[in-house]
Amino acid sequence: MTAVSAPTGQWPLLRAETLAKTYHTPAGAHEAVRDVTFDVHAGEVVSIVGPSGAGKTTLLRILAGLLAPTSGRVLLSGVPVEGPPQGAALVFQDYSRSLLPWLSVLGNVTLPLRSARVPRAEAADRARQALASVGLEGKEKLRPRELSGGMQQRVSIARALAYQPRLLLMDEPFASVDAQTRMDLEDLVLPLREQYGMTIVTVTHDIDEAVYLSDRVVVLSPPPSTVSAVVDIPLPAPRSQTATKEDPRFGRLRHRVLDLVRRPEPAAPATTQERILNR
Amino acid sequence: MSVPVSLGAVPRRLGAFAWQAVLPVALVLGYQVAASAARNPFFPALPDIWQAFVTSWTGPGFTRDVAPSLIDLFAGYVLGVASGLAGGIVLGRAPRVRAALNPLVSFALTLPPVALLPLFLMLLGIGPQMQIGVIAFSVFFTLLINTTEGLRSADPALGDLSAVYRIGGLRRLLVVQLPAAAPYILAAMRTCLSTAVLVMVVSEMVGASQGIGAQTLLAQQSFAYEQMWAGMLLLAVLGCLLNALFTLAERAVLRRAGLLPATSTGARP
Ligand SMILES: Nc1ncnc2c1ncn2[C@@H]1O[C@H](COP(=O)(O)OP(=O)(O)OP(=O)(O)O)[C@@H](O)[C@H]1O
Ligand SMILES: [Mg+2]
Repeated sequence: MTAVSAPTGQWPLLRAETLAKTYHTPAGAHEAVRDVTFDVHAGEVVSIVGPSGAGKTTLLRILAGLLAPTSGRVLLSGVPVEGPPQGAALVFQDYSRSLLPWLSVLGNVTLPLRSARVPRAEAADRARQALASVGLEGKEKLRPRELSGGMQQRVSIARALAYQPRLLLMDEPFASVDAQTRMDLEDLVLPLREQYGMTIVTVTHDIDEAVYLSDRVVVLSPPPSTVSAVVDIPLPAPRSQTATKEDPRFGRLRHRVLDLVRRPEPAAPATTQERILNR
Repeated sequence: MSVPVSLGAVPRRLGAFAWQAVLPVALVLGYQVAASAARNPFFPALPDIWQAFVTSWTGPGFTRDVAPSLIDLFAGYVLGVASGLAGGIVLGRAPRVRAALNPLVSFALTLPPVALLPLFLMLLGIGPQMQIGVIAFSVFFTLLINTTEGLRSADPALGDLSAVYRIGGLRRLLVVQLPAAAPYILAAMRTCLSTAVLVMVVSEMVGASQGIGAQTLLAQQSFAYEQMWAGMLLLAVLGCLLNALFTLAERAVLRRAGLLPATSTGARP
């Protein structure tokens, strides 16, 4: 896990640098991402929000090294990413396709660990813990197909957690679970960065969730996407579903992000966060 | 394993089963009526065919003719499946090699293996090695093509998964790629099973003095029509039996793998 864990000098853990992506299809060229630049520092939680089709999945796939950008580059601790880096995990938006139907739930979660040469018993241990933490105790032996969509999504989250990545990328990870489970999962994810020193980048449709989870929210414009604004979220830690969400600053930040998503501004003024806080 | 069946499905299933049993019985009875009416030596009566069946294919007949045929069939089939699978894995993982060999493979696939019998006779001589060789050849290319295609047409999401979580090498092949290609591979194995029986019979007819095919042709040439019919009967039974066994094995494998389409729910949004 050297690639992610060796931050050098002043480099942020992850830097997206003037990323652009144009898909070439038989129907013609399609510019999905025009110009996206942002930094993620070690230990931060950063959310990417934007309208549907804004290129969020495209962006995350570029960050994960699965897709080469048309221009721009991704730097991990200052080192350009050319393929999926070691120690990074991705929770796919299309979770059901990313689970292997011929493996049990436990088999799916241990597969990346076994590939990383984690001994069988330890892998099973870590997998069981991760599954329990997403509320799937006792489901280890079932096949993914025997679970509901929301449970499958949690298996795919558990797989990423058991992997204990330094960089956790998640594409709408809580989209298919009920509101209660969603809050549980949000509260599960937050302590992870202290526990494992994880850095988390997550894509979400849910503005409340973005503000609640994040240190910063990257707001994308409608496609072809650019960064409309990067909103700092200086809410105190630890966050709590009741206290944080009742905090008047939470409401103001939420409002601000919502406005940005609905009516994107050309560029984010540097003073965004001060203005909100001093209002 | 018990499958829950709704009440309405029971009569339908019984009906389907009855039809499956009625049709062959009707055919056999029809043959018997026609044969006894015709009094033609080409169409011997059923009891005579049955008598020939018992004397030709059981006891010493079994060891002399049936067993070698089955052994050749099995050896050729296994050899062909194993080599086709291995070749398909190589081609499926190496696009360059695949592109280079593609014309050759397409050409070989269009060649009827039976047409190559003279060549095999020349190369391998008379004996079981010739039968095994032709059967393996007939199986090889279909397995090769289907394995390659199965590996290539796997869901790209599985490629992403392997890349992100660094699942590589043998583990990727065995745990991710081959199970994904299993439906293609099993379909090829099923098709090849009947081809293999066909090729076995024909190869014995041209290049063997023992075996089911050789005995059946010999019977026809020496006007032993009961025996000829007994040979065809054995081949029909063998074909059905192998197909049924394969279906059972296939279902067991797919069920164990959780791949039976009956339980498929598809992707959830
Ligand atoms: N492989 C591809 N080939 C061609 N076009 C693509 C491809 N993947 C995505 N696109 C297009 O790029 C645009 C952005 O897609 P992307 O999936 O990144 O959006 P998204 O923000 O994740 O959307 P959603 O919120 O619905 O998940 C869409 O218009 C989509 O049609
Ligand atoms: Mg998406």
